[in-house]
Amino acid sequence: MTLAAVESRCLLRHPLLLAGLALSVVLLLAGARSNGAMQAMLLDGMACFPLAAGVLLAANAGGLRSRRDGTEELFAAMPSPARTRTAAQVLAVGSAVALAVGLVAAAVLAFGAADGLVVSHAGLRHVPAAAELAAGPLAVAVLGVLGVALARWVPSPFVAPPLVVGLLALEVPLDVWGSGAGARWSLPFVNAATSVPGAWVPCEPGDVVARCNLVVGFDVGGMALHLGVLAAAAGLLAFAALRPRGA
Amino acid sequence: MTAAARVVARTLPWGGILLAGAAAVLIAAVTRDTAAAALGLQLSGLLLAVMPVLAVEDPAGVTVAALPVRLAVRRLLAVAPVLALSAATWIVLLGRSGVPAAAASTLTLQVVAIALAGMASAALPRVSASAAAAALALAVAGGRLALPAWVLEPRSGDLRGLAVWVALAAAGATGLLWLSRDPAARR
Repeated sequence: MTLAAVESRCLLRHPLLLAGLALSVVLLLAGARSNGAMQAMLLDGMACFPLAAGVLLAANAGGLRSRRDGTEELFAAMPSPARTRTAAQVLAVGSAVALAVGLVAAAVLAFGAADGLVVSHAGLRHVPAAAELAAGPLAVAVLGVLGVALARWVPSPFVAPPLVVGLLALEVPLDVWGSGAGARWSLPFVNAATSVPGAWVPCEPGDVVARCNLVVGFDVGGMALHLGVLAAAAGLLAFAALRPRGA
Repeated sequence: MTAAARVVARTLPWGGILLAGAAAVLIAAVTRDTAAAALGLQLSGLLLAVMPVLAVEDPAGVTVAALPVRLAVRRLLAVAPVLALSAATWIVLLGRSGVPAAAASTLTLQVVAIALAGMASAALPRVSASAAAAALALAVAGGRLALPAWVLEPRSGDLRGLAVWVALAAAGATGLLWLSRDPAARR
């Protein structure tokens, strides 16, 4: 546990995590001045995307630390196996999840979401469900553990950055623009809003273009299932990270 | 000089450089002819801009610092082949994307600015190229969501956005030139 505490401190102080957190706060502040549909999307998890990207990159850098510093041979001579250090890095991701929970709580307060968000021009109101609010922190956990697992199985610092960019390339059209396509459920961050069938045009929730934001409801059941998938993904990735190499 | 170029090219992290290039081509191909074509091209450009950033780091820099070849020349030898590959890929992707010319120019300016700023960051003492690449990916990916549309949206045509990218490119170029002077000249 001491090692996990040290790893948590390293992770929370990592410049990439702090940069991701700063971008998430900027996103939250921009959301506070935007409309209800945008705020609902942010509370569905997207507010945590920059933080999660920072956690992925920082956790990956943490996992590669001993390789980068040339201390692998030194650590190999110590009584605790490499698995212990990896377990500490996986546990350290929990501290970033706590940060994400704080971020979502701040967003709920800043947006006044408890009183209901006005999510469409027709005046439809929506109070985010617990399943929606939990999605962001859980996605942060998945990406953090993914960073550690990548460092263990593909020990190269060049893998994580293209992954973050590729993830954004999928998240923006499928979720930020609220396309409603079924494929969006395979991504870590999902916008649960459902729009009028056939009415969708590529637009961001804050936009005011014609036919944008025709939100008719939120797929809370789908989001609950999505949480299950995220939890399973985090567990599998943790298992993969802790599995001895060559086994 | 040709022999030196060959030696430097051999030491480049081609795995990471080619991975970034392949990811760029993949993203552009997946988003081509869709509503996300401009976004895909922008993110492809980001990855292509990362390619020369990875070439800036010289693991043997301390050892070869005492050689008569100046740091700027060594750095140019390392970056030039990657820059050529990156630029050629960008031109092909741009030509096949069908994105309007105005948006394509803005995107090109963004890619140049990101590449210059990234190379300057990687040239900083005690900053690794992979850390600079990760910071670039995070800044643009996170910024795409968090920053106002006029900063990163290529179709906005906002003069403020253009000014930001021109300033970033100028700062990156100045920083890169400054940090590519021989260590002795900096004292």
